[in-house]
Amino acid sequence: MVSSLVQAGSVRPAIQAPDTGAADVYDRQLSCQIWSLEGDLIGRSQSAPAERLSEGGDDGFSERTIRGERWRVYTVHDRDAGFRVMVGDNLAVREHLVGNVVTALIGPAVLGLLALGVLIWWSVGRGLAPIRQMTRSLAVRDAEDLTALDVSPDARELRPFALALNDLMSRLGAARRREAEFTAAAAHELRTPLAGLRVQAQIAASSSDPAVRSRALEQMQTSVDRTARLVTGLLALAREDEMPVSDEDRRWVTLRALFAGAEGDGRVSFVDGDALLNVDPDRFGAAAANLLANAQAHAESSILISYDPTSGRLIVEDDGPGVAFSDLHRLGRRFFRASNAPTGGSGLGLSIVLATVKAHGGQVQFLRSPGGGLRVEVTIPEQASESLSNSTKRD
Amino acid sequence: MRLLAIEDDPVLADGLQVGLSACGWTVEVVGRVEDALAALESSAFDAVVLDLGLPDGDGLSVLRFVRERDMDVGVVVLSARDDSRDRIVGLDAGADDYVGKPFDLDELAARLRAVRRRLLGRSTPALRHGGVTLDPKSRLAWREEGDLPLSRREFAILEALMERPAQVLSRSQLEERLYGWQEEIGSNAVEVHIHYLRAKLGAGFIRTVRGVGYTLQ
Repeated sequence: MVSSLVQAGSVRPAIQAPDTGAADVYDRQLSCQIWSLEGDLIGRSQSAPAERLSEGGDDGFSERTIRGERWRVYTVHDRDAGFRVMVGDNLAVREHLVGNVVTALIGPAVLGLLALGVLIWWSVGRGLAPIRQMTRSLAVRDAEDLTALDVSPDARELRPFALALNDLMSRLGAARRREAEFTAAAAHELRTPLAGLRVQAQIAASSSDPAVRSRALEQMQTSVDRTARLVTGLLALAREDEMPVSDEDRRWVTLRALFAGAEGDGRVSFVDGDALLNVDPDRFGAAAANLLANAQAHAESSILISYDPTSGRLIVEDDGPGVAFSDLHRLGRRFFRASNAPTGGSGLGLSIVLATVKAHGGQVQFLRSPGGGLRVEVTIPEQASESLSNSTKRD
Repeated sequence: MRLLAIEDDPVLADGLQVGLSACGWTVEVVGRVEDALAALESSAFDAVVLDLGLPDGDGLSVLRFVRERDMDVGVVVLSARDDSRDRIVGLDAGADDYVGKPFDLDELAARLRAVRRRLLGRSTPALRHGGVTLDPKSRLAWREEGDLPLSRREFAILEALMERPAQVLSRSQLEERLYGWQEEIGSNAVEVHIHYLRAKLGAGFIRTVRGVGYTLQ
């Protein structure tokens, strides 16, 4: 800069920089000397010392201490013009300046940061208070307690979360209630055969007549068998409720193989018995056996089993007395027995069918056949995943 | 005592039939509400054992039927639904007693006897008349002089007469008490039993009311 000024001839030798009067300390920071190549001082700025700022006078940066003050100097010379220009930066002044800047900035910055920190701590704490409150109330909550959480109306961000949580809890509560109801119903269902067993056992124990005794024992056997069937049904139902059927469980099975129990029953006829269904052979086989047993218990002279691969619909139809319209929609409910059902059934057969088909991703419809008997239509998707992707597509 | 057991479980129904018959009672068993109502309309019963979960309806409807018609019959409800709420509903609907399943057969019999006693306005278990005592539980009879050996049917006739000493019972009423639906009844069976009873108790103990029936002296 100085060199260019000198070159342009705008700086005359021995020009003194004007005194601004203010903050002369800082004015002394940058100083400039112009020397002739012979070593005479041609001019200097006011704050520049009389001594040469750079001893050697080589071009470039150098440092020198003059009267106790450290200078950092840049030297440049112009042989044609016959000048050597030295620009010195008084390091003491610079450090002083830096010190001033630092004290002027850091103090407020530290204070500001502290204030900001306190503010952040307070506002985050305030913002998180509802979460903490919710955490506390969840932490001390009894496992049985599925009542809805209170959400303060101010915690707007937390609301959707709390509502979702409450929704989950209400669904959980409903599931648990269903389970409790089912357990209670199952216990009640077991009480009647147990009562029968107890009474017959008492008769067997107290009677002196061998004929009465052996008859009572026979009745006990019947009751035990029936109770065992009921327990088997309950276990099957629990399993079907628990586990959906995966694609790996599925095999291609013929209709006839699924209804293997129909063999030897002259009333049963298949339409396309070799049609293939993609189902879990064990579980669907058990459901099919229940369907068949139900039809066999009611059919007069014919049971028709058919499968339509295009609609994926399996139909079991009998020519029995059928089920009253008022009872149709209750079929498949646990422990429900139609009013004309034969005694001794567990009331679970069609419930198991319903649960198994659901585990396969399908559905069941109970209808009256044109002849008046019961017609059960089971629709099963070929792949569990397919039914899933279909449903997501619909969404 | 003539009993109607309304229970749809075949094994339990059979147990009630056999077990309560062994107490010396005539027991009829039906498994449906419809049949129960028909039985109650067509003939008289002293007590009903009533299951609540029946295939064609709620057993409580049978109870209401009985109470609406003011039938003179004790009802013991027999149910798998036996928490206190169910008991309250049953008792308030007119049941005389409520027994949860499973139950002790002897206890049920004792409760039936107690219900019967209350219905007849009596608190002592034994029946007494003219120096004759009957114990409905052991089905034994005795007089001041000593034991009075009676056949099952003689005991039943005497019990029926002694339960309501002032009342005249017709031959058909006594027949109903003695025989179940399935049993053949001889045309003069009641007269034969009365004849034997008179031989044991003295001719005057049982009085014939011409054209009506029998009563105690």
